[in-house]
Formats: sequence, structure tokens, C-alpha cells
Amino acid sequence: MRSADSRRVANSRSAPIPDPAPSIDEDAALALSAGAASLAAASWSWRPAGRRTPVLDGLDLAIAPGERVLLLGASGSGKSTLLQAFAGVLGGDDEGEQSGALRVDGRDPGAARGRVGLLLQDPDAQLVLAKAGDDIAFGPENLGLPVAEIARRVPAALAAVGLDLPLDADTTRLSGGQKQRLALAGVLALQPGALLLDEPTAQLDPEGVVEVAAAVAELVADRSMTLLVVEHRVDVWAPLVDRVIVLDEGRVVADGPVADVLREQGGSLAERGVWVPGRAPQHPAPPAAPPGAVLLRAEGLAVRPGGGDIVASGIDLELRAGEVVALTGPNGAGKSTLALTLAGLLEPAAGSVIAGEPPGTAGTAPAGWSSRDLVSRIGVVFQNPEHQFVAATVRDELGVGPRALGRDEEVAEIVEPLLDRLRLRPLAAASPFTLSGGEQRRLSVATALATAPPVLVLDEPSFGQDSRTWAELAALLAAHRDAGGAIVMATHDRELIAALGARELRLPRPVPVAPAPPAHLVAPAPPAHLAVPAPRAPSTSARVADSAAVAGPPSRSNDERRIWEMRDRVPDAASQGTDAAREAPPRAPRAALVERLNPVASIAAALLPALLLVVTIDVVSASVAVLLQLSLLPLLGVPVRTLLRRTAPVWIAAPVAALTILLYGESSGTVHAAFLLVRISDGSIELALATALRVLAIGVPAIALFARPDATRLGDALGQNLRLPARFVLGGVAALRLMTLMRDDARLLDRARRARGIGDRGVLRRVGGLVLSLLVLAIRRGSSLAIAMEARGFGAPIARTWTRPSRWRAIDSIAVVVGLLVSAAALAAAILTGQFNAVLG
Amino acid sequence: MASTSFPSSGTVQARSPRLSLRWRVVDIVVASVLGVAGGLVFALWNLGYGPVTAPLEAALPGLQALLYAVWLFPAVLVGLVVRKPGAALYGELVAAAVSALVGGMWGWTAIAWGAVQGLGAELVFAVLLYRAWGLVPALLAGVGAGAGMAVMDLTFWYAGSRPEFAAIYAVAAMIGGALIAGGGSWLIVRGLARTGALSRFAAGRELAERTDS
Repeated sequence: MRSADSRRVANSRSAPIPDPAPSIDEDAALALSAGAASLAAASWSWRPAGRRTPVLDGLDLAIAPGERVLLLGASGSGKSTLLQAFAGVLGGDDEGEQSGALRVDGRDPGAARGRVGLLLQDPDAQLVLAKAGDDIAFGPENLGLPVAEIARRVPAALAAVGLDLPLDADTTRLSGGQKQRLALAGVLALQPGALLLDEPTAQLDPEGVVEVAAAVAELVADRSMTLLVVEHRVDVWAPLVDRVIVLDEGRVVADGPVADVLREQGGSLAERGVWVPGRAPQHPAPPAAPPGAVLLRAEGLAVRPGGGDIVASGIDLELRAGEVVALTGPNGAGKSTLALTLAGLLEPAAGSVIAGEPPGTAGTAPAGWSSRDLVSRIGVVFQNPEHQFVAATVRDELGVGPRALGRDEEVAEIVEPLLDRLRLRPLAAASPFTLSGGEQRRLSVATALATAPPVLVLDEPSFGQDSRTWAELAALLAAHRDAGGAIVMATHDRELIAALGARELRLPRPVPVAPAPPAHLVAPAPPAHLAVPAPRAPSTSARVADSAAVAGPPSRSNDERRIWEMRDRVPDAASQGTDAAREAPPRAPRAALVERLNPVASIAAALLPALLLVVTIDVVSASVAVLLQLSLLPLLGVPVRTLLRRTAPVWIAAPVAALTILLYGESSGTVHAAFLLVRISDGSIELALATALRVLAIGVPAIALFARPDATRLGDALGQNLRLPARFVLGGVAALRLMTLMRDDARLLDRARRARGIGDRGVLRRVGGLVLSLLVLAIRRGSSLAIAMEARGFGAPIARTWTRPSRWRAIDSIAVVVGLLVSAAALAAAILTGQFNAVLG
Repeated sequence: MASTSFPSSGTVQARSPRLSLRWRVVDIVVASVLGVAGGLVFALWNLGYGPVTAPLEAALPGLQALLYAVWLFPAVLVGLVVRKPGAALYGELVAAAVSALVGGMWGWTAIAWGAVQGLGAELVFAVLLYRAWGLVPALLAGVGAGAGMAVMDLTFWYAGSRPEFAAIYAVAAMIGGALIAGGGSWLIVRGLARTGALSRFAAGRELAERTDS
């Protein structure tokens, strides 16, 4: 296997032709290698480790090159597993047992790396790098393709998915549909022969669904790629495919042309939750009584996400008993933010929200209620149910609200009927996190109902649900409405609005607060019809293309300026409602030296001299070091105020450490005071002074040299200059991208705990409870990201290509040497004056 | 022709589930993600540790190291989840680097502490030949990480201290390491396993099997 892979490398290095083929011109050769792939399974079974029964059992199927197939089945029928198996990312013998054979182009999937592209559900768990162009290049880099070839593929892939973005666009600021298309571009850059899509639109709003489906339709129109898509929204994909395969309990139960399978199996598919066209789930009966008293009133309301800018304003709303209000509007209009504000989980930015308790009285603002009061008056259902789970089992989860209200004796009376009503009894002892998406949705609604609040607030409750869960949800909400409750829901789902007879409050498209981005940031739009393999001249604005031109004229100063421009960009607040306010570095004509240093150089210049300094503890070496450093620091170009602010912790820590040594340091000479363990002496006074100076000598440069490099640049430097293993470096860089998501998760988790009635606890208990949920969410995203990365060639035993050269310049060496010289001078001074005081021994 | 040069591992029969020590992609990514999460916890702890530990220090100088062990948990946690050589070291390094990137409080020096603390836990797992992952190994790895922290702190911050202080500090660091980093991480792994999030890891499957039967 290893030798086979290295042969591929050798091939792709000279010319990207995987198999012996007559050497013709490059484009023809590429077209040859990019032909559609065949997929086949012959009595193939897979039993994951830790499970007694196989997920897929004796599977037989054959998909011809260029065929377009929709794979259907209930959740748990093994659809995702099959896609991962074809992509060769199912894992080794550690992770399960397989038997039978699985083939891609007649080969083992693991050996057909790059032939199969896999797109997953969660747009946030697939993007690896911070900039669009870098992210697309990630796969081809892993396959070790030549730099020039990658530079050609990146803009072509971006154009092929119809994304009109500059290559240095920040991937965190894209909408869900854009992110998903970018992830698709990252897959296309591998030039796969088969495209496998695992519920690619389940987490997208209707706009995003259309974007992604249209991009895919364009790609497979000429049958240059085989398509295998898993989705329960048949209407979106049926026009695009030739054939439908239905899996049930690990076996193929139907296989044939779309129309035939839907005609014969439509009924049973709809029963299993598949959205079959013409078989819409049943709507609940319309409301029997007209709306009653006002339960919640908003006047002149303006809302903003925690710490963000106002996203919607001038909102007036009266919510009456027995009615449903749907908050609708385009992405970024502030629907979710408004819902959370109405629920008392966010403070209004302006105006008021008043809720009556008991209903009909003057009322107070929910944002000021205690968590305990909130849970009995307003029930909240979050978009992602996992944000609101706090207990170890389903049964305990349902009891959380009643217990928070002190109704411990009644818990069983409340919980047990709910378990039956929501068909959760068989799962009562399971962890809520182990439930399927539909089960989690039912549970999250049930937890909100457990305290019988008059008002229910829901955020995108029907998002990504199968038709069965959808029907159950609609029935539950209708029952709440008809029992005299009121419902507010942020939603895109027209059918749910119709089913519940909801009154609609449509939020307008947000007006951009920030000025439009300067023209130079917008790349010339690549022609949208461009097919992937078509050659295209590298765009002038393409960073990857530019830096790839290593043979070209020296572009060092250009490079530097570009990096600076990107750091200097003003965040575009309109593009993202939440947390758009990121730190905008101050403008400067030219980057400071500290910004231009290679990150590895700043680390070395900070740590290596420190290693010399710690061998002694004396006033002479420490003060010489501090003096020399203070005279050299201005060269780094960091403004004095910035430097003081950043090093403040050290200026505080140094005297604190000195105080400790003053009291508990080695004593010598006259003892001035002694009690308990304290012994202040001439010797400890001198050591304390030396300690303070030494902490400064080590701490100040370490912070001054720290320029907050972006993760991509740090990773490039660690991988190329320090030659750390690329797998680990890039794994770390990819995980760093999830950091923003984790922070947002933490905020949502804290809010959800307030909504669940346990937000009144102390800080320590609240943080402690958050950590486990936060880690679960992080591991889930990480596991999904790992699959996406591996499918893009990550971890392959191939020498990877680095398209962004990380240069080690003379100034980098100088910085390290100067740092070492300072420490050496300090040590020499201590030795010459006889003050050297070895720390060890 | 191409197909003959590739081993047909698709037909390989079930092998004994002896776990490989080679890192899978999911090991690397999840270790990184846990490290990043640890770094975020560090960033919070960096803001709040002073007032929390001051009373301990006042009671017995050096005792504050008991709680400093919060800075050690990613080493043991990542070691226990991933179970590969280098996992403890890698997890602690990533956490340290992230806390530097987020807060920048100690600048690049955080990396040096991360390396030595991670190495302390790593050595314990290595001595156990990467085969033992129960509560006792977790506690011992915590002690190892605590020892690493004591070495760093006593050479950098408290180089001039008397042996009494150094001894109290080192013992407190190791006890804190055992309880907070070792025991705490062990509990976290059990909690995570119950949620099914660790289904791709032996650590998660073992616990799931036990609760199954």
C-alpha cells in the first residue's frame, strides 16, 4: 500500500497522471484521470466495534460511472456509513469488522484516494482553514500535487460552485449555503470521479438548499462525475437523479428509476420519515377558538445578539393565548435573536418586552426574571437540542424543570405521562446525547412542556427533521395552542406556518451598518458556467495563485503588504449578525518587525534566551538582561502603550513572585524577621530583587515577541520551518477554527441553562455543568471534521505540498541570535562579577 | 492491471481487536479539539485563578499549587481519550498554545510550561506501556503533570525559595495534579463516554459495553 502510494506521488509530481497513459497534453491527461468512477459492493458487511449487529449486512449494489443515485432510508439504516466506506474513511480494524468486498473503480476505496469526494451535513465541521482559497487548496496539498496545478484548480473549483468570493475571504463570515458550497469546492479541487453527498442541505435554510442543489446539478449535468446522495428531502433531489436505492436495516430493499420506486415504495418511505413528493405529512386541525388574552407584548423592540450590534429594530408584537406567531425573514434578519429576546434570554437593546404573570396582569420584563420564574412561564426550544440537555438520562432530563421549581414529589407524575406521550419510554435510561435527531427534537419539546409554561418560544424547530418527526412536532404544538398556550417560533418552514395557522411577523433584510467593502477586496467574478477541469489563468487577486508563482519575480514586499492588508480589514458587520465585532488592528503604513517575523523565529527568540537565563538567580544577570532588552524592544515596532497593556500581567506577577521569595527565600546575612515559615533576611531581599528582575527579563520579551499570528501562518511555519509532522500541525490549525464556534456554543449553553431553570446557580457550578456539554459538542464536530479531512486526503502517507511558502529570512535568524546574545551577555556579567548563583545544586 | 498492485483489504476477515498505537486522523483531530477546548478553559482560569488561590497561599505558602493543577487537565484528558503515544504531551501543548493565542497572558512562555507538564503525564503513560487507562493510571499521570509544573515553577518563579517552601509547593502540585487533572479527567471521560460522543474511541466503547450488559 505504501509503495503504491509513493508511486502515485512520483506520478503526480512529474505529471498528474495516475496510471500509465500515453503522454499527451496536460489537459487531456487530466480529463482522463477525472473520468467518472464506478462504485460497487459485493455482499459487503460492516459491524462497528462496540456493536453486536452489523450496520450494513451483505450489501450488493453496483453504480456505473456517471450514474446519479439518491440513497434513501430511515435514520440508522446505514446510509452515512456506506458513503464513508466508499470514501475510504471508515477506519481500520480498530473500528470494526468488515467482510465481502467494496470497490471504487475496481479497487479498494483506501487505495483510490482522491477518486471519491465526500460532502457532509454540517458546514461548520468541514472547513479547515480560515481563508476560502487556502481551504480549497487543502485537499490537493494533501495529495502532494504540484503547486502550479493547485493554483489552477483553486479558482476553477470556486467558480464551478458558483461562489463569487475573493480567495482570501474569511470562511467564518459566510452564510450556511456559502460555506457548504465552499466545502463542495474543496471536494471538487480533488477532481474526484464520484461525488458523495451526506445530507448536504439538512442544515441549510431554503435559500441555501437551492444554492447547493443548483451547484450540484451543474456539476453532474454532463455525467463527468458519479453522484450518490443521501437525503430525506426527495423533492430537492429527485429531478437530479436517475435512480433511487432504498436501504433498510442494512440491506437494499428497493432499487430502480425514481418514478418507479416512489410509486411502489412511496407509502412505506413516507412512513419511515422520507419526504416523498405528493405525500405531505398530515396537518393538525385548525384552531378551534379565537385568540384570547395577551400573554406577551413587545413595543418598539430592538434586539442584538450577546455582545453584538443591533440586528432588528422597531418591532411591535402582541402574543395572545391560543395563537401561533411565526418570525420569518431572510438570514441575518435577527429571527433567532428576536426569539431569544422575547424568551427573556437576551436583554432588549431598546424598547420593551412585557409578559404577564398571571396572564393578563400588568406584567414584567422576562429578561429580569430569575431562571426559576422563567422556566414556569416561558418554555424555550433551541435549534440544536444538544444545547439544552443538562441531565444524564432522558428521564432526568424531563424532570429538570419540575425539580428547579421545587416540585420534587410531583416529578414522576409529570415525567411518566410525557415519556409515553412522546414515545420516549424505551429511551428513558439513555443519555439524551445518544438519541437520533428526531428523538432529540421530541425530547427538547417535551422538556419545555414539562413545566407547563403558557408561552413556548422555539428556534427553527423543524430544521432538518424527517417527515415523521415533523408531523409529531406540528401535532404537539397545535395541542399546546389549543390548550390556551401561545407559541412564537423563528422559522423558514412555510409548511409548518401553514399547518399551525401561524400569524407571520416578517423581519426585513438587514440594512448593512458598515460601509460596503472597498472595491479592491472584491475579486473579479469568475464565469459561473466554468466547469472544473477547464483550465483557467490564475486570477491576479488570487493569493494562492500568486504565492504559488515561486519561479516568478521576487514578490516579497507584495506578500508582506498583502498579509498586512488582510489584518487591517474592517469587519463587515452586515455579513454576520453574531459577534461580528472582532478586534480590528490599528492602521499602520508598514507592518511592525514583530509582525513580519516568522512565527517560529518569535517563539525561538522568546524561549531559547530564557533557557540560558534560568540557570542562575542573581541580580546582576537579571538586571543586565532587562536593561539590554528594554533598549532593544523599540526595534520590534510595537507601540509602547500596546506593549505596556500586553505585559501588564508580568509587571504584576513579578513583584508578587518577589514577595513570595522575600518571605520564603533562602536566608543569609542578617535576619530581619522570622515567624512561622517566614524568614526575611539580607539574602532573601536580594533574591527577591533578582526574582522580580528575572521574571521581567523572561516574561516581557516573550510577550513582546508574541504578535498573535493567525493560525494558518503559524501552522505553515511549524510545518515548513520547524518541520513538525504536518498531520499534527494541520490538525491543530483545523481545531483552532472551531474555537469561535466553541465560544458561541458556550454562550448558548449558558442561556439554555437559564431557560431550563438552573441558571440561578453560582458561577462555578454553572461553568462546571457547561464543560461536559461543551466537550461533547466539540468532540462531535471534531469527529465529523476528521471524516471530512480524511476524505480530502489528510493523513495520507504522501509528502504534502505547501502552497503558502513560509520564508525564513535573515531578520529571523538575527532576532534569535540577538536574543541569545543578550542572555549570554547577562550570564557573562554575572560570572565576571562573581554573582553567578546556579539554580540547580 | 492497477487492481493487482493494490491489496484487497476489503476481503480481510475480522482480526483480534488489538489496538494499534498509530494515530488515526480522528485521533489527531479530536485530540486537537480537546486541546483547544482546554486552552479556552485556561483562558478563563487565567482571569480568575488569583482570588481563588490566594486564601490557600495565605493558609500555607506553596499550597496554592493544589489548584494550579487546573492547568494540567488537558494532558491527562487527551491521554485517556486518545490512548496513543504522545497524546498527553500533544494535548497539553495545544492547550497551552491556544491559551497564549487567546489571552496572550504569558506570551510564548506558556508553550514551555505546556511541554514540560505534558511530558510529565506522558512519561507515566509510557512507563505503563500505553496499556493502562483506568483511574489509577489517570491519577499517576496527574502526579506526573504536577511534577512537571513544580519543576517549571520552582526554577522560574521561585528559584530562590527555601527547601521547605519548594517541598510544600511540589507536593501540593502533585496532589492537585492527581485529584484535579487525574481524577477530574477520568470523571470527564466517563461522562463523555455515556453520551456516545466517544464511540470511535476505545475509551468510549469500553464503557458503553459495560453499561450494555
